[in-house]
Amino acid sequence: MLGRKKRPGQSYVEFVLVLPLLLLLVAGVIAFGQAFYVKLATQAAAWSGARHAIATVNGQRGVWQGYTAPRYTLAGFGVNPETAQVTVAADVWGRGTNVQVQVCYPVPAPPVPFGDRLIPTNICSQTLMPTYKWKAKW
Amino acid sequence: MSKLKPIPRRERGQVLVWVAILLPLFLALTGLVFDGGIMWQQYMRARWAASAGCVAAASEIDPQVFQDTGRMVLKLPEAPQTAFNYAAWNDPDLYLTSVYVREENATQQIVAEGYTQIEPVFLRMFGVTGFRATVRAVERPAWGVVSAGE
Repeated sequence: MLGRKKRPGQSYVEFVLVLPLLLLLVAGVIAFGQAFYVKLATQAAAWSGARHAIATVNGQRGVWQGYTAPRYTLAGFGVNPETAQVTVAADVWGRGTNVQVQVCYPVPAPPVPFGDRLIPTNICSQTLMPTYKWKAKW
Repeated sequence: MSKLKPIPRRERGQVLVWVAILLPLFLALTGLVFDGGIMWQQYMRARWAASAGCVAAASEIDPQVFQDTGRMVLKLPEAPQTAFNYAAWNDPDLYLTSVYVREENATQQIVAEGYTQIEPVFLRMFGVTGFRATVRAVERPAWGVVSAGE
């Protein structure tokens, strides 16, 4: 009978059969973890950018502050700030006007089937805040 | 050189047995990582939103009161309403249950409290439909006017 024949290396064959599945799981965990971490980093960076941008009524300076602060925050998260796309948007810049900061960060698609559909490859976060209405020194 | 010994019959299929035991554990681990990530991300989003609402509200200083009394007082109901508006914009899933102004050491603070309903994906299979994560943010109008007319 086939089942009673000596089959050396059967464990290796079984292991090789199962290995892709295990690798898929590990790759999925790593990819999801990376995506979530980047999402947290972009959220913090967008908040930080908005918080710094609204501290001035000088639009040029506000944009610079809103652009620079997220980069420091991303660096604090260990994420390369050079890769991030930071957008500081405001219709007009004045007391109490809205400023929106968006931080996007590209992440590689996970090496799993349909990986680019499971996880967005460009992770973005936005924060909206109004500029200070009152401040001692602008 | 010795020949490889054949696997005894009673040990055949051992890897498959291990896989059958460990695979559900690995899958559960993957699911928990996924759900944990979702929950933490939604919780942090709600916290940032509540904080953004408070920052916006802290700017609603009443200039007339300052001019008359020299005190920095937040306008009511504008300040809480501003907190609601900006928190809702930054996280539509955040439900602010209360926004109030309190005094601490003769300084006003605006406090926003609320919650966000977090819906897991993996744990839903085990009947866990959601968690309620509470958030709280505090801000004070520290940057406010220091002299009349500002």
